[in-house]
Amino acid sequence: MDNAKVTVVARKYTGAKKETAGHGSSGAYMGKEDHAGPGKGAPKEAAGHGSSGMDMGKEDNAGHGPGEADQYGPPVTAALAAGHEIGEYAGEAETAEAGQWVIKVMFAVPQQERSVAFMVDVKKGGPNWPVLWGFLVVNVGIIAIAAMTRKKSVSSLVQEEAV
Amino acid sequence: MKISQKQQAAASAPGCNLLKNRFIGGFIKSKWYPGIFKWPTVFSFVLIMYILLFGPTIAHNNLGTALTWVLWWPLIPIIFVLVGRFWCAICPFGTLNDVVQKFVGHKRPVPIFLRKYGIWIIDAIFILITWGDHVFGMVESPWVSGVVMLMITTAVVASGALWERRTFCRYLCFLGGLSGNYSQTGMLALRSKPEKCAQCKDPVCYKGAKTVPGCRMFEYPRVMDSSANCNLCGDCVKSCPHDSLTLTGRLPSQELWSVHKPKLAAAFLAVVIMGIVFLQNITMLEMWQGILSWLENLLHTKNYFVTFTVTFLVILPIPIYLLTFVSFVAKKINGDTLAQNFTRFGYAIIALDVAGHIAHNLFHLLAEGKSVYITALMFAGREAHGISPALLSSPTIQLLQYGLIILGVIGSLYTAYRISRSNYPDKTWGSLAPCAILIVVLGVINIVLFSLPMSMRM
Repeated sequence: MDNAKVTVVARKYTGAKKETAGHGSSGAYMGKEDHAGPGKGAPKEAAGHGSSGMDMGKEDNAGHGPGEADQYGPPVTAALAAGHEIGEYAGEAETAEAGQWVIKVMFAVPQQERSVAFMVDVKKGGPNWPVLWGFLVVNVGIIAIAAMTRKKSVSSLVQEEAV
Repeated sequence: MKISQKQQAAASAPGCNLLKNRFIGGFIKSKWYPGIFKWPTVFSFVLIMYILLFGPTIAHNNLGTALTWVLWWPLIPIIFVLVGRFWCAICPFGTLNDVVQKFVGHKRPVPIFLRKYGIWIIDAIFILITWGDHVFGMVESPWVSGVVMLMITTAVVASGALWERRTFCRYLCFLGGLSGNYSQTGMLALRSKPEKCAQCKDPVCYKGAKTVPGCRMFEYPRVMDSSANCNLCGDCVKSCPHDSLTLTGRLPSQELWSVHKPKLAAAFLAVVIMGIVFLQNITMLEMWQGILSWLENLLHTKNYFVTFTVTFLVILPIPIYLLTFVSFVAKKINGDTLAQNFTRFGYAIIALDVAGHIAHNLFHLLAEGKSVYITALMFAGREAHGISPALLSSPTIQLLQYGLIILGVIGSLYTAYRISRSNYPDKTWGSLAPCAILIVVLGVINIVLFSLPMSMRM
């Protein structure tokens, strides 16, 4: 793998241009809601490659990836660094907003260039507040009910103690 | 249960009483113990919960995930072997139970169904959590990990508000069930001196005194012959007016062959844990994806819920079937019932369980251990690119894993021999042979699984 160059770029997919609607599968994303909006815990996509970690058989935009005429946000490049296994490299591209992102991996050695692009649905990061509030209400409710109905249990052998 | 007098004597032998040591004894009797460990643990737990729920959504970047699944979870079985169930004395959930109980607790007696079926409930919860871990991705998702902790928190609050002492820890906590089994291999044992307890008229160790509570785990030190439910919290040491308690060192697994009343549920949990170790190993193998694809073709579905559940139902009961078969063969030899053989020899599996569990998690601890440092750097807002998370190389970790499994096999074989010798003195070797073959087979399966490449948690 000497002299091989691998580039990983993530770009936010912001929709297809009108004239290219229906191009490949990218048109299918047109109607989907974009959950854009930066927030805490911005999701990250880890990108890595190894000698067998990438499907190099797929050609660029081979029917699944987005078209060239589609609209994207600014590119975010993942800087690859040696991973913990020999021959493994890994990097991170920060997908700062939720929504559809296109990850493009380009691989080049002398006389050969391959690339693969795929869509990733990045979910909005951060906690699910209704779930957290639910737990808080239940726990506070248990404690409140216990406090209101508390009476000294004669059956308990336990003495009051300092925790 | 036939227990020889020699065995009884060995179980209650005072040995070298560490409480006689001025530093150790003084420390355990002081007001600082175990609080000096308990409150930092509570603080760490709150911080971890916060990071899990509000921190990075990717496990790879989350310090809470690294601290929980790469550091704490691999260390916990090692702690059980070294100091028994001490973790339970400082567990943040236990502390929460105590606090809720102190301020609003009704302190009702433990329901009979919990006392009767508590260990079986723990067995069921343990199996359910293992299944849920895979189906809902508990380890891989900081959020799901955090929600599971919130669920446990809610159960602890409810238990602390309603029932006396540490009902949750003793009868409902899945980790408590695991620690109950593993702590019997532990190298520390707290016991009482029968001659001193015989003079005692007021069992404050159980009832509690003005300033020290009675045993929170419902144990009566005077008759306690197992470390399965002893947290080493030191309350009985503090409250005993006769200085009856002893804290002695012992060989790992020694208690397993001197348990007076082995429990079927504990033996069942032992073989379930072996199944879980197999399952965890298989699903972390790099070949697992191939197995999944094969299952998807076989079952005509790509639904992971279905494919994993099938795998779970096939793999988990294998050790149960094997021990049942072995007990059936042993029954023909020694004339005892199937259940008695299952219960007795199930305890022999615990040593190999602990070894398999530690060996499995050793991979995560040593191959991903530095991820704690890396995610801590990221938590502090610093760059942490290009640092390998490995503490040791894969071949070195594998060697350690093989060594642990061999130790586990030796421990289990010797335990099985001692169990067989004390219960079937006339048919020791005949009764031992089926269980010994099973232990070797389980050991070989473990070694084969550890020889295959595994994937990471982080």
